[in-house]
Amino acid sequence: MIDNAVKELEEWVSNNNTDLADWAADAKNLTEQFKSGALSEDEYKELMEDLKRSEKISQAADDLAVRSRANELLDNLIIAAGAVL
Amino acid sequence: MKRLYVAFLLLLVTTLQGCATLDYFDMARFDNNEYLLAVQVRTQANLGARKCGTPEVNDEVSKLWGDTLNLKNYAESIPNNEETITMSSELLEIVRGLDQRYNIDKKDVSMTYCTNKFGNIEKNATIITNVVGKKPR
Repeated sequence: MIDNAVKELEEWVSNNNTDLADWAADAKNLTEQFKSGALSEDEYKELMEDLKRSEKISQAADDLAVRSRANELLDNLIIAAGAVL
Repeated sequence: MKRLYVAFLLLLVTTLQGCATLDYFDMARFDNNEYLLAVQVRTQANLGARKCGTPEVNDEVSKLWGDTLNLKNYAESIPNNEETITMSSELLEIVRGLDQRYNIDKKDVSMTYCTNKFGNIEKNATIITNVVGKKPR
């Protein structure tokens, strides 16, 4: 079962979507470390859960970046309008 | 042409401010203290990783827990700061696992876990630092 999951992760690593490929590469590395005995089962599970949390952080960061950019754009438009007036 | 531009801008601004998008633009601005706290978490994660496999790592984990808790608590005190609250809360949960193992359960921790964990925390703290640093002034 874990081998099938690793195969699927390998397909995702070569995916064009960078975020997905990065996530899959991290998951694949952790799974290989677990299989080699370098990580205990509970350490492995915790680190895999961390990947989900990291994804939430990335999503919130993307939202914040877009919102910040939109705000700056609006501020610049308001300043430009003031300058023209 | 200038008048047309001004008319367009005024129309855009009044339209945006007069509807639901107003909430979207009502956001927490750049805050020096928040930015410093995020940088401190990133730095502490980097310093902590160097102590993996040594007895000093417990103290580094405690400092990292304190720094991350500070960031989350500070972010929560700023109005309209949802994204930063989400990021710092999730990061705190990641750090919680580290603190639990080293300072509460006092379990044996593998070197691989230690380096992966600190590496992931530093990576996320870098993402947070970058976006918090780009908040509108």
